[in-house]
Amino acid sequence: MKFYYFHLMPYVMEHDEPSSWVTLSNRFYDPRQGQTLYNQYLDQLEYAEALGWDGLCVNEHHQNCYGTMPSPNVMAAMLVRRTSRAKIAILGNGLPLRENPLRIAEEIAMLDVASGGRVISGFVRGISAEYFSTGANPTHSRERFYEAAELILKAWTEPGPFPFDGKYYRYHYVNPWPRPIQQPHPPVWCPSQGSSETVEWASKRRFPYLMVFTPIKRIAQIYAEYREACQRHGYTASRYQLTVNVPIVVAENDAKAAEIAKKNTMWVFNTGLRMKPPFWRPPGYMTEASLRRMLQNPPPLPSDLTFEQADREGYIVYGSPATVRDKLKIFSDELKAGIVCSGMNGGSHEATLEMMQLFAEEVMPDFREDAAVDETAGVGR
Amino acid sequence: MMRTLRVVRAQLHASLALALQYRQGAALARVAWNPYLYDPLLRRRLARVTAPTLLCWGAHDRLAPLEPCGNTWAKEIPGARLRVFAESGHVPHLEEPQAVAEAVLDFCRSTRDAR
Repeated sequence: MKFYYFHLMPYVMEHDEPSSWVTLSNRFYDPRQGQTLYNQYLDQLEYAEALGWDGLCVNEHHQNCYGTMPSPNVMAAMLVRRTSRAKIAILGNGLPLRENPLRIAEEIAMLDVASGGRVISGFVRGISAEYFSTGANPTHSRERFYEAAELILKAWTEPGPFPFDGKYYRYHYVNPWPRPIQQPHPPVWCPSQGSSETVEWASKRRFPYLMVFTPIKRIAQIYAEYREACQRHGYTASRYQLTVNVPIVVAENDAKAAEIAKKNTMWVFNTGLRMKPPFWRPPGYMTEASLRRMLQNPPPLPSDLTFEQADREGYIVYGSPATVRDKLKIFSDELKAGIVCSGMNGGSHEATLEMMQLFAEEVMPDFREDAAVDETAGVGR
Repeated sequence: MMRTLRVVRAQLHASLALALQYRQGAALARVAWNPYLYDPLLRRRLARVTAPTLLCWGAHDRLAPLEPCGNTWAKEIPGARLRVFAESGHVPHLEEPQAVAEAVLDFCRSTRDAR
């Protein structure tokens, strides 16, 4: 199994506002504190490469304290020059949020060229709240996503110049310089919450599917749907198409790990993802089929998720090295996920670095039977 | 058994109602998401209205509140008259039909007399 270090770059703070997204005033953001955090977070990602992680993940979120990376490509650019081996996974760029998605094709190609072909390009729609903070129309989200993806893939793979006449995006000349190093194009991943439309779209194109902060039961269900869809499209899914993002806490013993997880990891759900209910469901963001499916079995709001439930249902992995190894075997042996993306938060920068080292030394070696395999070969393109 | 059926039916109704509400919200958002339910160019266009104009506005309108919407319209449309209906929200012609009809008749008479 491959390990990717995933960073949200949160601005961890406690507050009594009804929402950590969209309306949480940026007067709470102290840029000097931000400077310290950005540099610590980048140090952590660089350290992950030194410790043996296979990939480093950044992601796009807007107007919140949960993740302060409105432009993941900026953070990826900083990592490109400070790392030399690890894949750099941008999970991902919010395609429909952009007025000019050709810019994404250009920026990813720049990063791919400068990194010598280490970039993985996630395509996302952006989460619900981002349709409030960017003004993009949620009812156009899915159409814009498909159209922008088509444009970017074409821009990477077909010699320019050529015209592109879409419903939302029109160009007389598509001819981006540079072209990416990886051929036919950098691997594309689809981080998602498991809508059947995205499963279908990703499986058809061999794009890996990333389940983010999802209970194990639901991951198993979506993986099964994805594998079945791949068969329908005439091939068997590689294990590296099935990826998962789960926060990990490892400490000397289970009790200490539980204590850290209760405080730091639950902050992500309970405070980081605290949102006014309307921000979760902008009109038209979901298809009616997905809405009906969700209503049949509504998931808890992250802000209502208790530590006990998160533990029971597998939203988080925590424990001593031995316990974490056992819990990760569920992902490797039962779910047969090929790549685990995970962030860690020890409570301070130093504690986080120590936790990363403990994980790399005591947990990771147990899952290295595929150390020589390139997880991006024939996947995501 | 009957009780289970009733519960299932009630749940189905609730879910259908939510789906319908969602569909209606999406239809509205399609045309009115950004700018959100207003037209930023409208203000300058109002100044070009030449027809005699009566504005009938509900005092309790929360969709397009009297202040700033109704008062701005009254200010921008040359010679516009504003009538505020104390018992109405967004649709005074449905909430106080009699009073609105009388206001309109009054207005028509006065503009006719003025001609």
